[in-house]
Amino acid sequence: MRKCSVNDKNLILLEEIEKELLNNNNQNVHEKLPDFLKKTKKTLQRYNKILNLSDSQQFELLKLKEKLEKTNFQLKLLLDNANEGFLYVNGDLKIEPVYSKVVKNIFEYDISGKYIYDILFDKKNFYKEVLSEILSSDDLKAEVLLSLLPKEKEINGKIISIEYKKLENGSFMIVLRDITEKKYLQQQAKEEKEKLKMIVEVVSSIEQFLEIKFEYDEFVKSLDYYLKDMSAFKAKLHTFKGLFAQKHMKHAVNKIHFIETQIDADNTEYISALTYRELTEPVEKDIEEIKRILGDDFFEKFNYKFIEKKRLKKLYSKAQQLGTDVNILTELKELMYFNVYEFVKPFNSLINDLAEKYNKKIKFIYECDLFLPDIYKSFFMSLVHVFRNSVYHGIEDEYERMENGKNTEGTVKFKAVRNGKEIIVSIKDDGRGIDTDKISKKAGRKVTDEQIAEYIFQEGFSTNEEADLVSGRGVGLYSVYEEVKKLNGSVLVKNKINDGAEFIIKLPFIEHEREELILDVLSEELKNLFGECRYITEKYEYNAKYKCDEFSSSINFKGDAENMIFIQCDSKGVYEIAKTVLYGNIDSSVIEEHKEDVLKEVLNILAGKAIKTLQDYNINADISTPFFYEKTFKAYKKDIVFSNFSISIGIKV
Amino acid sequence: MARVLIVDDIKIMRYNLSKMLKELGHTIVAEADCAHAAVEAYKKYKPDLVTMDITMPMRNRMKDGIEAVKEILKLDKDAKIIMVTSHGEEEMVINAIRAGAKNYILKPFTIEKLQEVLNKIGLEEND
Repeated sequence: MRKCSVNDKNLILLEEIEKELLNNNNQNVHEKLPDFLKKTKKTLQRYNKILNLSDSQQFELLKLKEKLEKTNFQLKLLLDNANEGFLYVNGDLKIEPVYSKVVKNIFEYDISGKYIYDILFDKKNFYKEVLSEILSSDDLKAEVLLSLLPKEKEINGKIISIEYKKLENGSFMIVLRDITEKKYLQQQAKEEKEKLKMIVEVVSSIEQFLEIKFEYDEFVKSLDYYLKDMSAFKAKLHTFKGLFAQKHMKHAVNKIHFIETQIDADNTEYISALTYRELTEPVEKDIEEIKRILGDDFFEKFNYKFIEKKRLKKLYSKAQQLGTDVNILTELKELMYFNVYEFVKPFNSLINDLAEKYNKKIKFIYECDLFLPDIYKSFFMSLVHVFRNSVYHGIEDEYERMENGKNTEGTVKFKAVRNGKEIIVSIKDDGRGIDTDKISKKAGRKVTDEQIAEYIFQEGFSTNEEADLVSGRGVGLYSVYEEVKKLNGSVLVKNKINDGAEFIIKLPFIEHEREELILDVLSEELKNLFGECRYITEKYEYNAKYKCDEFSSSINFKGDAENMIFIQCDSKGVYEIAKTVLYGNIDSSVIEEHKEDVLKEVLNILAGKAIKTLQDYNINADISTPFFYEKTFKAYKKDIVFSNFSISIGIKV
Repeated sequence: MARVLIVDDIKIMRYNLSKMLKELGHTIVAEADCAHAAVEAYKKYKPDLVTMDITMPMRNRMKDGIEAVKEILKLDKDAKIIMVTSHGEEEMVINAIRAGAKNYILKPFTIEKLQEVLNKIGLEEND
């Protein structure tokens, strides 16, 4: 700064004077000197001024520089410790040189000078245009568009939240926050949920689980044998993976999946080094997690075919403590596929009581080892009519039996088995058999043994002259038939005079876990909608021939879940729905006029919300516009009863 | 007080929105149930504000709310249009805003939220 550029003119003058002095031309020098001195003095004065100014200025500058450095440092400290990364993006959408340590840590390389849309968005060109437009828009438009930009992104394995701000000077400030930890905690909570799902799955079908474990152990023991036949090995592995996946056994599934990948990659080194230990360890890990909650001796104690209520309650309260969401709690509640045996046992006393009333000796033999989803309960309950018929119409009194050469004690046999995808129920008595003459008379034509089924299940068909307390109205077998039809089953009657009658009912075995999950999510949203209404109960139902009536709406889920969802309610239900969707007091005549639209709209809202929740279960779907579906179809539904209305949410299966 | 055109293919939703807007002191000059009808109604009534449902079934070869926005803005570059969307289809809404819609609102919404959005685009209560 001390260097000053000497005025050229004066330089020349100085040089001239120098020359003159050297030439000893004193006269000229004397003449020129004052002039020169005057000019030089002026210049020097000027320069002095400048020099003086720059001195103090320089000092000021130094002071400012110090201050700036200090502030910079403080700012840096602040930025680095705020866990927030600040990015500045200029009008060209390029990132300004980055100071914040957080940003550097997030991206792990220097992003200065890069285009923001290249590093922050997937749809680069789209957001390049949007950002440019934000810069050239007025404040309101910019604000609206900014509110629609993505708020989260995964970068280098970290989850980053993003906030955008448009600055006055036509640039952007972007605030990034590493929310990986928060998400991690959320993930932890999810994992706890998964663990509980696993426990529920294992515990609810404990014999099956123990069988799988046993088979797996046998499989692993014969590892050497299997390794000789890679395709057989692969197949077995894959099957077990599926079985363990159904039980939500995370460690087992991951390990098997890893092994499968190694096989596919021809990693013979790894395969040949596989040990028994390596294969059983992950399964043991999952089981350890179960034991941690249910007790070490849990599996040892398990000789029972049903779960001790105490354990179930313990599990339930543990689940509640962990703040488990209501889906799992509901699952736990409906944990038991109900034990059909327990359902049929009461018929024993019924038969005994009726037998006593009608002076007959009857023995009830019931045989079943069957657990079924709740949707079958109604059917089994309706069988009461069949048992009544057997006692009243079928079994003869002691004397008649003796006369016909039979044991004085009649028998009614009940059997229920599941044969793969079919449930077969048989009720057989050794009584008179069904009187085809009486049926023929009532029917008005000759009816053979084989044709009995066509008549006796009809509504109102009864061969009794008078109805009494027990039977005769023609309703009993009709209701059984209705239940069978709903479940898409079939009924067969084997009849032989004097030998007895047998009712053979075949029902398809239906399990709809995924549909139940979707319905659970939807019904939760539905219940949220009616915050103030008193919710009473809900139950699942399956109906093979379902038809929606006027108060209904349907919507299609597309994508991972290709399903038609429908909502059905009674007239009071529409009113309640309208109250939640519409504003202010609504006239019932208005509702009547717009009932279809009201249902369409609420289904739209429910489905839209459900889709977000279903994503958490890895079910990605999109919805169509709502419509009215008038055809008959197979429906799996959930009936939800509120204090003064009821609504069903269902799914076409 | 603004003159409003409501566009939505579901009648009960038009009814609903019309109730709210009336309570906020605005008048409904027309309702339309598809994109095409919306443009025609705009020509005829020249409203101060349009509320536009973002997805509507295709009719008369005009696809959806966004096309209607474009057509209306061709007629009147100062048109005030609010998009009504039932689930956060952010990119669709961005396109609507870029096409010239002023703001958006998510269903289901309260009357307070509606007022907030109207304020933002310069239509204060009893304005």
